Order: sequence, then C-alpha cells, then structure tokens
Amino acid sequence: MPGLIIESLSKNFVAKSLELIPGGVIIVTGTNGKTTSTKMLTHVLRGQKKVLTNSTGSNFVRGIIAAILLHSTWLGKLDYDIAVFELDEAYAAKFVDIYQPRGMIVLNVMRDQMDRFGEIDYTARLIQKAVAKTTEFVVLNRDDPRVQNMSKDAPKNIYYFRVSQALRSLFRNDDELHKEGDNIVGVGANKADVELIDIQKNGQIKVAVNGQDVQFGLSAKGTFNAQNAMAVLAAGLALDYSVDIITTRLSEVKAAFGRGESIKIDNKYLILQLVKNPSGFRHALISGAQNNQTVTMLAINDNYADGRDVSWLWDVNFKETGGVNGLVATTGSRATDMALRLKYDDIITDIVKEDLLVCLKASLSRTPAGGCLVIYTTYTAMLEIRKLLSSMTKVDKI
Amino acid sequence: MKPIKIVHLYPKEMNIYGDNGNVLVIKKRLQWRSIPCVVAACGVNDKLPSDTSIIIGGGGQDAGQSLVASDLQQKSKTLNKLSQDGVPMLMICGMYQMFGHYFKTQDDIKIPGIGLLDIYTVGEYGRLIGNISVKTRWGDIVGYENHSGRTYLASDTTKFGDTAIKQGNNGKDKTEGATTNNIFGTYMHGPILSKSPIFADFLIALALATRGQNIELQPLDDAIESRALDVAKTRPR
Repeated sequence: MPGLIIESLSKNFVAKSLELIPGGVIIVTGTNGKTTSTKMLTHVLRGQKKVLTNSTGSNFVRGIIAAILLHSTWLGKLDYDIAVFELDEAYAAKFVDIYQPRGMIVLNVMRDQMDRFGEIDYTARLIQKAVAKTTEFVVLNRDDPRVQNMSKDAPKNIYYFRVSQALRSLFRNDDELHKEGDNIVGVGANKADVELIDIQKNGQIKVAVNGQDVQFGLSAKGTFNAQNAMAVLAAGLALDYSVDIITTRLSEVKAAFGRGESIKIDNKYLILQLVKNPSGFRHALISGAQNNQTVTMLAINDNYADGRDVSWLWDVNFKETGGVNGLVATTGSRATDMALRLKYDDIITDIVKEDLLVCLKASLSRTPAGGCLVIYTTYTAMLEIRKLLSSMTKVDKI
Repeated sequence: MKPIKIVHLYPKEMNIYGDNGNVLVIKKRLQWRSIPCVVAACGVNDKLPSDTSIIIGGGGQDAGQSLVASDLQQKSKTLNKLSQDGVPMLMICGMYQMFGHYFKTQDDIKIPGIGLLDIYTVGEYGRLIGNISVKTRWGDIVGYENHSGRTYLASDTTKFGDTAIKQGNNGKDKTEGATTNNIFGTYMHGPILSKSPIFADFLIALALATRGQNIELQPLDDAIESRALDVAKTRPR
C-alpha cells in the first residue's frame, strides 16, 4: 500500500498535487451509492475531459494518494482536467482540511458501521463540516432530512435531487424504515432540480429536469442505481453539461462491482448484491426480487470492515420485499444469525454453511441451467466470493 | 382470553440497532403457540393502554432520547403502576438509562429519568462498544453494546447479570443491566431476545400472568437460536 507511506511523509503532498488540476476536485460522499455514483460521474465527465478518480473502491485518503502516485508523470505532474473522489463520511471531513473541493455530492446518511462512528447524527455532522468547506457547489438529497439540513452551511450553488411522491415508499430514509405500508410522505413540496418520476421494468427511467420530462435507459439496473443517477445528473448540471450529454453518458455506465453485478457461469446467471446496512439491504432485496431466482444465497460476515454488530439484520424486512425466494442458503461467519433472522420472517433456510466455498458450490449445484442465483453479501464476503468465482469463470478485476 | 397486548414504546424515536426485533420475537413466539396477541405502538403524546401485557423499549440516538425524555415523565406514573402490577418491561440501552434516576452528560447537564430502576448514569468520553456475553439466571446471554454512559446500581438493586471487566454497565464492576419488579434494563442489543429464547419465554410467561394465565408454555424448536448463541460467543469483541 504505497499511499500509507507517503501519507506519513508529507501532509502537503495531496494539496500540492491537486492544485495542479485546473477543474478542481468533486467529492462523492454519503452512506450508500458512493462507488456507483463516482463511477457514473467519472464516465459522464470522461466524454470531454481527462478525469482522475480513485476507481479501485479504495475510498480513503490513502486511496487518493495512491491514485495521484499511480497517475503522475515522472516529473510529478498530474495531467488531468478534473478529479472525482469517493470518500466515506469521516475521510471527507479530514480531506477538506487538506484540500478544499470545488463540488460535493451528498447522497444520504444512513445507519452504517455505527461501531466506528457511533451515531448517524454524528456522521451527518462530519459531512456537514465537509460541505461547509466546499467552494463552488453541492448536490443534496431532498428526501433525506439530515442531508437537506446541510444546506445551511453550503456554498450558494445548491442542486437538489429527489424522487417523486409515488416512489417515496421505495426510497425510505432511515427514519422511515420502520413505518409500515406505503404511506410515506415526502419532505415537502420543496423544489428539486432533478426528480425521478418513474422506473420502468425495461430499465428506462423517467426524470423531470427543472420541470422538463426526460426519458432514458440505464445499464446499471436497480432502484438505488436510478437514485444515484439523479445525483450525478444534478452534478452534471452544476458543471454546465447539457442534459442530453449527461443522460447519454449515464445510460452507458455498467453496475459497479458487486452492486447488482451479473456474472455468467456455464449456463447459470449469478447476481451479486452488496449489502452493508438496513437501507441498502432493503434496496438490494427490492431489486433482487425482479430476478425470479431459483436460489438465494445470503453471505453475512462480521469482520471489522463489515461491522462487528449484526443486529442491523433485524431492521430489514425480508418478507415484505420479496427478495428472498427459491432455495435459500446462508453463509459467512454469521450464517446462523442470518438463518435465525429469516426464521422470524417465516422464511425457511435450506442450507446453512459458514464456509463460503462450500455454500457457493452447493448453491450453484442447486441452480438449474438457465436459472439465476442471487447472492446478497456483506463487503468482506463479497471480496472472497469474487475471488472464488474468478477461479470458475471470468470476473472483472476490481 | 383477551389477546396479549405488546406495547412498543417510542418505535419512531428509539429504533436503531435492531431493537425492534425484540417485539418481533415476542410476537412470533406467541403466534407459533397460537396465543393471540396484538402489537400497539406507543409514541410521544400517546396514552399507555391500561390492558398492557408487556412493554418493549429500544435504543436510540441522543437526539431521539431528548425527544422522548419529557414525554416519559408524563408516562412515569402509569409505568410505575404497571410495574407494581407485575407487567414485564424490557428496556434496552437509552431506554434503560431513562428508567433510572438521571443521566449526567459529559457537559455536566443532568437529564432526569423516571427512577423506576434504582440506578444512575454518567456520560463519559469513549464508548463501550463490542460483542458482549453475560451470565444470567436464564443462562448465557449475548448481545452487542454501544454506549458512552456509565451506569451505576444502588447497592440493593439486582444486576441483570455478570460480565467481564471493561464492558457492561460501567466497565468497572463487571455488572450488566439491572432489574426491579419485572422491569429488565440492559445495554444488550442484538436484539437480545433473538438468541435467548429462555429469557424471551420467561417474559412471555410474565405477560400471560397479567391476563391471569399461568400456563406452561409449549416448547418450540430453538436449535437455530442456540447455535447462533454458540457462534456469537466465539466472535471477537
């Protein structure tokens, strides 16, 4: 990890390097959707510009230093027009002390890894600090009260995105996760620059941009990816791109690794859905339900990077979302906890195997030719599963 | 028999860390035995039902806690009456603290509780966070704790169980939780009842007793529960 060494050598290294990028730095932060949104924005901008990004999913300051080192010329010059960095909440707050970004996208603040941050209100304060130091524009989520609240410290150019009232029950914020039924009322009739109106089965989405209806397709399927696309669309507007160019480029972006990623093994389809927190799991289940899978595998690890606490599984409604069906298998260090959780939603687990390889093999062998295996997986389990899969078929490198 | 009424206290404000699961566990274990039950949400400004059989309260954020603090004072008299009548109450983390006399914050501000448990809590910098295993009269109970408050019990207050140093109530006296009448306060999330079916059934029996039913509970297959308990005990803090 070269970044670790340099970070300790020079605190000015990042600032000095980034000053050389004329278009400045755009930060993408929030709990869910950072990797996909960063990938989307980078692709939109790459139509016309040379973009530096931390595309390895290594989203800490170290990852940025590694990106700078990797892409500098031998004279230390960075030959880029603009930079897009994914940063988690705590590192976004640290980063702005080193270098003030030009723009920032704040996607959401959800319960995630609370054994690290303590509380989501604290997490919101960390991002608020980063927002306050952003120089030109921020993109904020109108449907998340904690994000909306950040407008008070924001630079004067604020771009909002939201989803329509009809879609609100699909996109619940953390305070709405426990409400039953579909009666989720939006934050209000506040204006948004970009509004998601409809998601169609064929992947087409309908959007209102400043009141004008626009329709386009997304290769990255799933409800959450559609919401991420709204944030990126708003950021594109902030950077003076035309709606036409943004949507054309957006439609080409494939799902980021493990975010609804589809992998083919023999004649079987395998879909990987990363799950990290209640809200993300809920979206993954809603998206996963559309695959008519014959086997569902749930891989739950409790390593440090996953969060040691597995109580969050009880904040997810597995029955209502319909994302667990067919033969059900659980795996990972907390395979039994997952099976236990499903039991209390009246879902019977057919296979409980802590060993990922054993469970993966059993699940694949029970998936018929032409059938689909959906895997919901925590972060460290996903890395392991992708490694196991790469010995069986072609898997894109992270 | 009138259905067992499970009262979920402050589901909107105090609901993080999966504590809602405790309500689900009680509900399902009643339903699996064909015992009729209803879940009633009781929020800020709502009246506690007089036919309450069991009350479940969860952990929340500091913001959620201050939202309910003054409302809880309004409910204090009714809660006291229900507690005298033997109604079982399970209070986790933030609600556990507020069932004590007070919470003194890091900035020396005293937030009054309702004093149904003879305990008090002092905020400190540095949280007690991690997996925790506690020895209780219902066997080993596992959970996950995450709190900055250090809770101290009056000398004649019964602890919920025993745990190791640097965890539990205050990190010093190796106690965890507190109990008075049928009120059980604990720092354990998990949710605690999911992997402790014996304790869950104990609470259910107490709830049935409020309806004058002293029946022997039909045993359930708890193989997954006990396996999950064994696994949790082996996991790092």
